[in-house]
Amino acid sequence: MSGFQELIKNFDRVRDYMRQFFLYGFKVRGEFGEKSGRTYDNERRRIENYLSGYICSDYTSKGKQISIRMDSKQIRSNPLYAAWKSKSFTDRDLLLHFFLLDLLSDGNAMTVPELCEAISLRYGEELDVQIVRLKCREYERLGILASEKSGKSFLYRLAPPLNLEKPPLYDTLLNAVKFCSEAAPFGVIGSTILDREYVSNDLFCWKHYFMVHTLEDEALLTILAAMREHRFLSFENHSTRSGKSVTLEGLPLQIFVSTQTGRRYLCVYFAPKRRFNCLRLDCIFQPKPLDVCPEYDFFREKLRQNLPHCWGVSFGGRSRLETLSMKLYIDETKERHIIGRLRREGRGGDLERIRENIWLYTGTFFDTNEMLPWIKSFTGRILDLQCTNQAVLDKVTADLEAMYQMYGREDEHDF
Amino acid sequence: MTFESLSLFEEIYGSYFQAVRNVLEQAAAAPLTLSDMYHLVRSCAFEESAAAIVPKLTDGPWSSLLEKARDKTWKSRLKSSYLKTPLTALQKSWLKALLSDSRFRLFFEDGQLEQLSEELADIPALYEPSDFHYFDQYADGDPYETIKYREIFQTILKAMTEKRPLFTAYEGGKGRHLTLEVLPCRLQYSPKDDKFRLLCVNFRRGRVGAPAILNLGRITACHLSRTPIPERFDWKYPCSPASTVQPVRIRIQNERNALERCMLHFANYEKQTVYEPDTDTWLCSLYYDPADETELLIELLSFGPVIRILGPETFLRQVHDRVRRQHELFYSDETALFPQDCFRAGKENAAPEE
Repeated sequence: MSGFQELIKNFDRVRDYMRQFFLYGFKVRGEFGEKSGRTYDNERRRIENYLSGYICSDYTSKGKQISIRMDSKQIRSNPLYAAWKSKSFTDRDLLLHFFLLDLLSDGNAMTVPELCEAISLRYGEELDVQIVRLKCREYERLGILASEKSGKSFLYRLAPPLNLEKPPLYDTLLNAVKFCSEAAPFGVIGSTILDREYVSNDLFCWKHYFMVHTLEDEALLTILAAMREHRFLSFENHSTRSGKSVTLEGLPLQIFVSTQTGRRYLCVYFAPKRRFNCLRLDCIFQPKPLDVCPEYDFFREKLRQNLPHCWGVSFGGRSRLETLSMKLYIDETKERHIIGRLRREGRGGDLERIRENIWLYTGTFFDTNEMLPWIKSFTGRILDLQCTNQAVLDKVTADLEAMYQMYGREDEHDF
Repeated sequence: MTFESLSLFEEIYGSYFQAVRNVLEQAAAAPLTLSDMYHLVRSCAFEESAAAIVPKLTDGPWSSLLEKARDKTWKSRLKSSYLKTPLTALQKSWLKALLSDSRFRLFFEDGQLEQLSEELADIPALYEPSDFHYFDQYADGDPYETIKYREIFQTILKAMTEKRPLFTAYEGGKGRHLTLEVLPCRLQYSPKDDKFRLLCVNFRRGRVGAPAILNLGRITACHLSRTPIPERFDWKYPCSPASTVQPVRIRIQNERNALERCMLHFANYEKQTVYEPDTDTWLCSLYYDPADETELLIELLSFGPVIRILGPETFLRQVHDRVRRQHELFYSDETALFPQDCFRAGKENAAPEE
């Protein structure tokens, strides 16, 4: 295929395809609706290159389906970070990068004309002064170069190394970076620090690691910038159900993170509705900071006060708080760990021993509907359920009954 | 520095720059053959990168970086053999943010933490811990702030980096106190549990035993051992793939957004999904570690009837038992229920023990 480039200009496109391949992995060429077949072929080939070793192809009646398959317990470093390391550049960008590092490696400072002359003499490349000046400014912005005024011109030198880069502290720091490059927000930055030293994680492995969410980090960076400066934010919100996109404006207050699914949400205060709302980060595109909100701390404090009543990411309807009680049978001689489960997973709900082997969990939250998956994880132990929201009670009761119809009969098999 | 000026998507962090740097640094030390260059690029970049990068370096627009010798080798034209980019503002800002992370602080002595704080004093943190709310993280995470936990963590890390055996005093299930000598292989971290676990191998009187998992929170003391380790010991031993059991197969209904929820929820498992147009459902195979079977079982149960667990039969049997048991609990006389024994297959989220 002539003209194929591994590198890309626009991250959003690879973000979309990588997410589709990683999360779903069952779509075939024709199902990537709005894109042309040629676009699909190029994106597929790129992702196959970035993630070789993790790509699987399966053939179905509809065509070839590509999936990214990996067991997070076997992964040392998130392979999806490759997408962040695929930005395209010009030949001049690359040459100038290494010329500047080389010419300034002795710690000397040089003006832009001096750099141009040295590049010409040493490497035989004639570069325009303005181009070198722009690159120096760009590298200063990135923190690679430092500048000082000298008469009418600027002297550029490499940013001096920090003392923390000396052993033994740096060795310890790199071990910590091996951990944080996977376990902390923006782990891909840690990955670039490890690349810089040609080292990789050889100490840690992971459980409950949801790697796909690194793809949201550029949007998150802008959102955090708005939060830091107490600014309103405009953004596009794509609905995964309807496929529609709307532009919204609100006050970004906090990032809600599920450690059990990896999903991240932006908690926004929408002034016209006077409501907090959580929106999935993977559905947010084109975030743009707007004006400063003078009452930012007030809304942040309001949110903090509300958090104990959030089971998950819902602030419920306009009704009052809802209470759900679950009575469980727990064999106290053999199943103390279930009591431990209720304590650590109950999110502040009360746990009470009614009598031998009978325990009562009670929680009061904005939206008890969010509790239902957790409640159903106790299937086989629930003696009774009560809830102030009858619809929630009806739903869980119907689900348990449907599961009995599905699995409960001896002759029920569907292998 | 303004946060708006920071970007993760920059070519200086890219694999191509890293690959060229690798070639240039090696070519400064000794001339490289074409084969050497292909090898170096492959170690840093993507599948087809070498075919794009090497010709540009030897005969193309980047050839001013290398000088060709007579014997078809190339050496660097640069005077420096050290082309590491200074830490960028973004990288420093991230490190500054980590200083507020109690897990990051585990790695360091107090004096080192002070030194890091001083060095990064003028750098704004990329984020604050309070920017994030981990709403479903378990409440009994490890005590990262305690001195004892930090000492144990650092001793284990030292044993791992020096590849030394470790003596541990361990509080097992039911309050049993054990003394173990182990070979520490990996530290496993779970954000959901907010715990570290040590994946290790039992080691008694110089003989290698079975793999074991120790909760760091239950290690009451540890120190390095001087027992020599067999030369051929494979430090990856307990970390080898465990997905040798049959996958769990589920059918996902096209309702209540079940597909999206399932795919996100089980994204940490290796899985394969196929759409079945006849039934408008998706068939998904989930490959799992047998040690996590009970955890997977209750995760699947939490989806209720929008998924149907199809097999394998031993797994399905546990589902049947629980669902029937639930029906009995709801619709039978409470006094007829005791004792019950349908959970003998595993402990729900019981802490793994050696």
